[in-house]
Amino acid sequence: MSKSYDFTNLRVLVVDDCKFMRNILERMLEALGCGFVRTASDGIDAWEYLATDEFDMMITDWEMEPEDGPTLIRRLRIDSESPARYIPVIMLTGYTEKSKVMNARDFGITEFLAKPLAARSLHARIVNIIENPRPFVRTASFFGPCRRRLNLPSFEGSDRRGSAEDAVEI
Amino acid sequence: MAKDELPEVPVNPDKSWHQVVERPNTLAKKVPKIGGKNPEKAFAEAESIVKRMAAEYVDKLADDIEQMKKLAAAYRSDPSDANLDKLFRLVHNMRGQGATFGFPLITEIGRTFCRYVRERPADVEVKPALVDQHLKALQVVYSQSIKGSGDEISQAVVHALSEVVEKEIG
Repeated sequence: MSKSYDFTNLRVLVVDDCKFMRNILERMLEALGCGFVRTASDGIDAWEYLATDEFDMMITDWEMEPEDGPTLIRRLRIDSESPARYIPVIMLTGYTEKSKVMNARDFGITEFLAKPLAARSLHARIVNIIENPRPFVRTASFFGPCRRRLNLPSFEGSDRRGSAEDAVEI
Repeated sequence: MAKDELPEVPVNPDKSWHQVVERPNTLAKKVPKIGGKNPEKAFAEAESIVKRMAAEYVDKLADDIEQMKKLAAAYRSDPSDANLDKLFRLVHNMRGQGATFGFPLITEIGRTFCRYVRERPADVEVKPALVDQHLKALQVVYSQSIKGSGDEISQAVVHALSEVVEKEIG
């Protein structure tokens, strides 16, 4: 049985261009006991929130306008003015294709959560961020949470952290 | 707020160069493992929220279908990338929500549509008729309120669309 984590002090930013999804995520997080939830409608909006307030984690959609999730995450990780360089990020998306999932790790996400949205899966991702924080890794072309420990298809082989094929250009 | 600096990369780093940044787990202190909501009760509460919002979802789906018809008409008269992108963004959001609220066929049809629009090779022209078939299938799922995985005919349609798209993508 899961532990009764007390999320009262947890501050979460939800980023989704769909008001309906923002609404359901906000209510779901409140049902899980999160005490502070704010919502933003795209990457630019989210940046403003992160620059003016403290958040412990961010849940973001992939496809948004004018700024999408991958762009926001990349900016947060590498922009010199980033207001939240190390913030844990859950990528919540309708994409389930393996290629998309594999791409997502190179944006600097912390957890990947595929829709349909379920409270149990969301809870599991939040708990994993709290219980198993991943170190960050800097290479010549990447900065973000260690990609080997992301809950994705296994990453095998020799140490290629610094190799070009294992990273996204930044 | 104090900004965290991006770790610097040495000049001409070795291919395998990397730096691991370990950070204190502040979230573990902020989120006690006891004293919060019983997770099973929280999941049940979240599930009831989703059920309550399912009625709102049907209204939203109706709006989305109406919007989709307008965008489809615009695409038929001008099959430009810009008009196709508008359709993509709408259907992508519909795809993300369908299965959450009991309409997995919306998600399935949306998935093949999005795959067709975004994953096809650059030299493969979009076939407006195939776009139209997806949109009509989505309309049928809505107008006949086909919940769950639908009947054999519905599944055959979804399967056929998926097969055609996979063939187009190559």
